[in-house]
Amino acid sequence: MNETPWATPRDGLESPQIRVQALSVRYGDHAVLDRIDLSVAAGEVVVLLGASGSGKTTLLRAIAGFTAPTGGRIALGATDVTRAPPYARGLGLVVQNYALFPHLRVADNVAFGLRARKLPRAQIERTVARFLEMTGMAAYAQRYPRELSGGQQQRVAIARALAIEPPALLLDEPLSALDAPLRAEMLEELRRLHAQLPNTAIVYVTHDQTEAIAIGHRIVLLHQGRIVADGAPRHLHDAPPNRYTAEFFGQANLLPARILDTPPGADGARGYVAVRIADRTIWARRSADAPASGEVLLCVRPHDLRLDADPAAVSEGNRLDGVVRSSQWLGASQRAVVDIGPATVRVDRPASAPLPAAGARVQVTFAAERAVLLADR
Amino acid sequence: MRAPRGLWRPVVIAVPFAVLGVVFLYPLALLAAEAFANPGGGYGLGTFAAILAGPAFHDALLATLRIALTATAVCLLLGSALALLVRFVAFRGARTLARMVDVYLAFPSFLVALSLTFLYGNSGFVRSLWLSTFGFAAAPAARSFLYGFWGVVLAEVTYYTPFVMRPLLAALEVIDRSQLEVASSLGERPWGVLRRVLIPELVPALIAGGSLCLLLTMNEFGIILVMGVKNVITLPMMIYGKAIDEFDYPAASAVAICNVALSLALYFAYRQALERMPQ
Ligand SMILES: Nc1ncnc2c1ncn2[C@@H]1O[C@H](COP(=O)(O)OP(=O)(O)OP(=O)(O)O)[C@@H](O)[C@H]1O
Ligand SMILES: [Mg+2]
Repeated sequence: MNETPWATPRDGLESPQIRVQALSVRYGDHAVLDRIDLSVAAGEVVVLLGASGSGKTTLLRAIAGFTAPTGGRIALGATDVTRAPPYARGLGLVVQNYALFPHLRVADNVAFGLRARKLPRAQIERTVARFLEMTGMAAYAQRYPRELSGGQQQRVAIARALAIEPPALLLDEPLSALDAPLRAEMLEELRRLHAQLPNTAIVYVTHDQTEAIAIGHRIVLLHQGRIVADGAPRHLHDAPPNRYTAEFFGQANLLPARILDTPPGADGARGYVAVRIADRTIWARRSADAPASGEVLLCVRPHDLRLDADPAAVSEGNRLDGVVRSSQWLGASQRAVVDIGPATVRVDRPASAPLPAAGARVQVTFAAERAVLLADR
Repeated sequence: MRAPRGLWRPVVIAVPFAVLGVVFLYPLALLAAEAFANPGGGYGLGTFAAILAGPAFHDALLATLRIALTATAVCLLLGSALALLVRFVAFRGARTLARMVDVYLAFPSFLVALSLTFLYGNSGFVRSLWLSTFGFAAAPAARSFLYGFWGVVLAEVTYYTPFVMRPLLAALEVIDRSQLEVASSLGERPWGVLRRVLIPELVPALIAGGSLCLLLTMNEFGIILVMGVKNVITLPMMIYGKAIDEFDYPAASAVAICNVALSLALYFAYRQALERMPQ
């Protein structure tokens, strides 16, 4: 898993760069955003992740000042900007289709915000040169946008937004118009840029979880206008706080389970909880908001499951009996779908393992620390 | 449909040219022959010299240019304002209004002149209302403003503003709203966004609409004739006067040739301007 091995934000949560409090946006009866609370520290990269229509763009546009909230407050630094027009907010904005000004050359596009501020000519030239250099577009300063490729246009759009040296950069699906290799390159580029501007906060909207993991210090998962999860990518992946997060984020297997009141053995002492699934006792971690008893969901990732071809083998730790329904070789890995009584699970294995035959009886095993219990809602 | 082959091919190509020749080029040639014929026989520039020397042509040319330029300028201002209103100020019926612009283009121009006469003319609605309210003594000058320079400009602006709006609305349709939003996030106020983003991107449409408007107002005839304006003699009115009132066909033809030359010059200037655009 990705450890976000790059600069983490300096601790600035007492005076966050962006603070959104109880923000609501409704159109008629339809609440597009429902009492959103969000703080972004200086230098922090927060990814707004969510399915189509979950309200990501609306939240970003409310922060930028293009969508008037029906409730709540937005503050930038110490200033309340809830009613301030976009031009007074000083935030950098990058949109999906770049929106470069077609009648202006690259250098003039980048200079746009500086000219709006009526800065001295020499200073504008210096700043434009600096940001064109930083984005690798210095050689294209005299070109018109239509003479650039999509990736180059996006670099110019980013340089233009950064040139006003905003406290925060807002990006709405900035890479979705690019093809996969270019997207990976641009993500790397964005991380490098951010390393050079360590105090600039970034709010990055995407519906792509690989992108989210690659760039986010923190991921905020939106679902139907509400925040359903907020945390470091690794944390959301390994300990999803709820069912929606587990399913959206990394296609987890979710098995209905029931917490045992009197767990056998001493595992309980190590912080594990015993549950019953298909007549087997399974040990798992308990997430913060899972109930202490009753029905829960066991969440375990496909690549944390093992298959044992010998159904009679006595293996250490958790095991479930299953029947292979299908299996498929996928190049780098293989995936098996296994029936285990109350549910089916997906199992990802190395490509080199023998492909199990459909109908074969197997044991599905997994470590207790890779399984987490969630509230069933 | 299959492309014509063999023997038919030259015929199929020749027919449209023949029609064009008979209905357009031949009459034009007759006109030119009339204009360039010397009274004593043979061809020369005698008629032109006589026409260009007199004050009548000079005055007519000046009147034509003044009216056309004034009307075009007002059309551009009014048309831009209306187009921006229709596109950016959400109000009920904005779409209908935009569609009505298209229908309006199909109306004949003299209809506008006629309706303005009913409204502001010597016995029009506004004047009758004035007379019945304030009595004859308080009545404004006997002749309405309608029968002078500003009357013609008013009528032409009323009729030709949609010709400016049409290309502007089309251009506004393709301008991406996010460009305007990015401009405003970069710190530009609405007026600055208009000046630095919107207007520069509308320049081709403004040139297209403006030159069309200029071309049409320079050749406008129906409006002035129907309004019965007596003291405003434009080039088309002068041609009409020479031909119909004075039976001076050579002079009428010479003025017409000048008028055509002016229109063509304008047309080529417009093409040049469009080609120099960055897009
Ligand atoms: N102006 C509007 N009027 C009415 N409903 C709107 C308006 N703008 C957005 N919505 C609704 O708000 C919801 C959220 O839209 P939003 O654009 O924020 O979604 P999103 O998360 O950005 O989705 P996507 O990934 O498709 O871009 C949608 O259901 C949308 O239909
Ligand atoms: Mg969106």
